[in-house]
Amino acid sequence: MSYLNNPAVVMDNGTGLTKLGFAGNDSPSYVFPTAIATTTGKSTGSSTRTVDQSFSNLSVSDSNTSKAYLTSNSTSATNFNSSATHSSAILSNHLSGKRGTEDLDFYIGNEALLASQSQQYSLSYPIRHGQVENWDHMERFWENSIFKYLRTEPEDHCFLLTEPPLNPPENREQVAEIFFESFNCAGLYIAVQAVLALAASWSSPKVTDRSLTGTVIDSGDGVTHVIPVAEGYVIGSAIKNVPIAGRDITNFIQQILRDRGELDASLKTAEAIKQEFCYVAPDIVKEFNKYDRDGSKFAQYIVENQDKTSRKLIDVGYERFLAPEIFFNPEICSSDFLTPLPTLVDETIRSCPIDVRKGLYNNIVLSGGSTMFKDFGRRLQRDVKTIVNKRIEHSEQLSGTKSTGIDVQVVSHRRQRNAVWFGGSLLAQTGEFKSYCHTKADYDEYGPEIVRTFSLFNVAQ
Amino acid sequence: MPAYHSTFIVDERYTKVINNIPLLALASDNSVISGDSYDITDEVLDLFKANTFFKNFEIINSSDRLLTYGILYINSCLSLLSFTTSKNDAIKKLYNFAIDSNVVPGEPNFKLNNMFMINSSTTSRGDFEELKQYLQAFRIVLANKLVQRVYTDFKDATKEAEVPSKFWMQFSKKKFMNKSL
Repeated sequence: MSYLNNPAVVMDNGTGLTKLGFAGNDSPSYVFPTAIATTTGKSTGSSTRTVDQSFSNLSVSDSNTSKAYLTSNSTSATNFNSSATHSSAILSNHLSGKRGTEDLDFYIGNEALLASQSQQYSLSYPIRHGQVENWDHMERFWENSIFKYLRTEPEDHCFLLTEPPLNPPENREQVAEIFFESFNCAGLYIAVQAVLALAASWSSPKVTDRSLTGTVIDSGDGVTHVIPVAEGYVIGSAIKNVPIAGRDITNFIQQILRDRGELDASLKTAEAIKQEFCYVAPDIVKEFNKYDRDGSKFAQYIVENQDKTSRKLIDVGYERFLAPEIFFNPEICSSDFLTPLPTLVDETIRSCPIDVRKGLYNNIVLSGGSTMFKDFGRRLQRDVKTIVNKRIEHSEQLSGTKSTGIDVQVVSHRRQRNAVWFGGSLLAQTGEFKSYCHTKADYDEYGPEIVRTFSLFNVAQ
Repeated sequence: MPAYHSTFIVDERYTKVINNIPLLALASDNSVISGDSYDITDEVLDLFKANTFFKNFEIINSSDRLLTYGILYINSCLSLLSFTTSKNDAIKKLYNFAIDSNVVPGEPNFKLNNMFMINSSTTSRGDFEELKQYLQAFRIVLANKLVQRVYTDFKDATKEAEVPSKFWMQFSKKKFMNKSL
C-alpha cells in the first residue's frame, strides 16, 4: 500500500498541449504538445537509411527556425526544443535499424516535432477536439509521459486524468483498460475538465464559497467552450462552442502586420506579439483615439534571427487591443460566426434549468491560455451585466414588479493558463482523493465498467 | 457590440434632407456659427478605423448615411495613396479626386441607392444640384482633414511625417461592409 503516501499524478491531455505533474504542486512539471512521432517506413535497406539520416540531420538544423513557432507555445519550465545538438542526438539514436523494435521507436511532445522533420517519422496528434482518436498512439504517449518524463512507477501512484464534457463512457473504459492492464496503476480517477477549472478558481480571493456551480469559459488554441456546471455535474445540453480561439487571434494579428507592410509578419512573430502586448479595451473607438493622440501607446517588438546577427524592428499598434476584441466583436475577423462571447454566455445560462441560473451568473470562471488577456474578465463581466440588466429592466416594465436583480461575476485568477491541471492538483492532494479513486483491486473484481461512474468530491467541508 | 453610429441627430426643421441625405453643417463653413467645431467629418475620421472592420451596418439615424458615405470615401482615398506618396502629392491627388468623383446619391449609377433607401423620383433638379454642391464640399473638407491625420508622425502627434503613417495605410485594403463608392 505504498501508493497511499505518494502524491497522485495529474495528467491533463488537451488537444493542443499536455500538462503533466504531481498533485500538490503549483504548476505542471511538463507542458508539451500532445503530439507523437512514429516511424513510417517498414524496414528498408540499410544503405538508403544512412543517406536518409544524414539528410535529416541537415534538414533539422536548417528548418529549426521555421518550425520553432510550433514549439513556442510551450510554457514548460524545462524546454525540450532548445538546441540543434540535442535534436541531432535524438535522431542518431533511433532504433529502427533493430528488427522487431519498431514499436518502441517513437517520440512525444517537442521531441516529436523535431523528429517529424526527418523522413522517417510521421507526426500525429492522438487527441482531436478533446477526445482520443488513436488509442494505440495515446497509449504510447502515456507510456512515455510516465516513464520518460515523470519517471515514476505507475503501481506506486494514483492517477487523475481529465476528459472533455460529453465524453462517451466507452472512452473511459478504454482509458481504464490501458491504465490498469498496461500500466498496472494503483488507482484512477477521471475528472471532467470544466469541473476542475471551477475548482481552480477557488484560489482567487474573489471566491468565498467553494461551490462546484458555475459557468466555465474554456478557451484554448482551437476552440472556445462555454460550459455550465451545476453542483459538479455538467449540463451537457446547454454547452455552446465558439469557433474563435487562440489560433484565430494569431492569424488576425498576422493579417494586420501584413496589411501594414511590417518587415516580419511570420506566425511566430504574431504569436509573440499576442502573448506579450495584447489586452482588452473597454471601447475601441476611444482606444483608437488614445493611440492617435499619444504615441507612447505604440510598442516595438524586436525579431532576431537564429544566430542573433540581424535584428528587425516591428511596430506594434492597434492589434494590441483589436486582436482580443474578436471575442467581443467576431464580425471584425470572421464572416460566418457573428455572436459575441458575452451574448453566447447569456444564451448558455438561459438554456439551463431556472433554479441554477443565479449560481451560473454569479460564478463565471475563465480557463485556458486565450483568456489570459489583461482585462478580459472585466470586459466580459461588464458586457454580460449589460445584457442581463437590460432584460431585467424590460421584464420589470412588463410585469410591474421589482426584481431582486442578478449578480454577474466573472472570476479571473492567476492560475488561468493551466486552470484544469491546477484544479486537478488541488483536488488530488486532498486526503479523501484516494478513497474516490477506483483501485486496481476494484478493477480486477468488477471489470472496466466501474469507471463509468466516479463519486464527486465532497466539497461542502 | 455592433458597429458605431453617428451621434449627430438630424432635426428636419433645421437641417435640409435631400434624397435621404442630411446636409449637416460643416464646421469650416463660415456661414455656420457653432460653439464647437466638431462636425460630421471629424466624426467620420474618428469612427473610420473602428467601423471599417465591420461587415454589417444598420442605418439608424439619417446621419448614418453621411457617415457611411464618408467612411467609404476615405477607403477610396487611402487606396489612392502608396506608402511613399509625399504630402504635397497627396493633397493634390485627393483634391482632384474630391472634385472628380461626383456621382450624387439618387442618380442611377450610385451604388448605395438600395442601402440608403433613396427614392429620387420626386427630387427636383435644384435639390440634386444642392446635394452635389454639398457633397463636394464635404469631400474636400474630409480629404483635407484626412491628409492632416495621415501625415502625422505616429510616435509623436505634434510632428509631421514625410510619408503616410502606416497605421493609416493598413486600412487601405479593408472594405467597410465589403462595399465601395
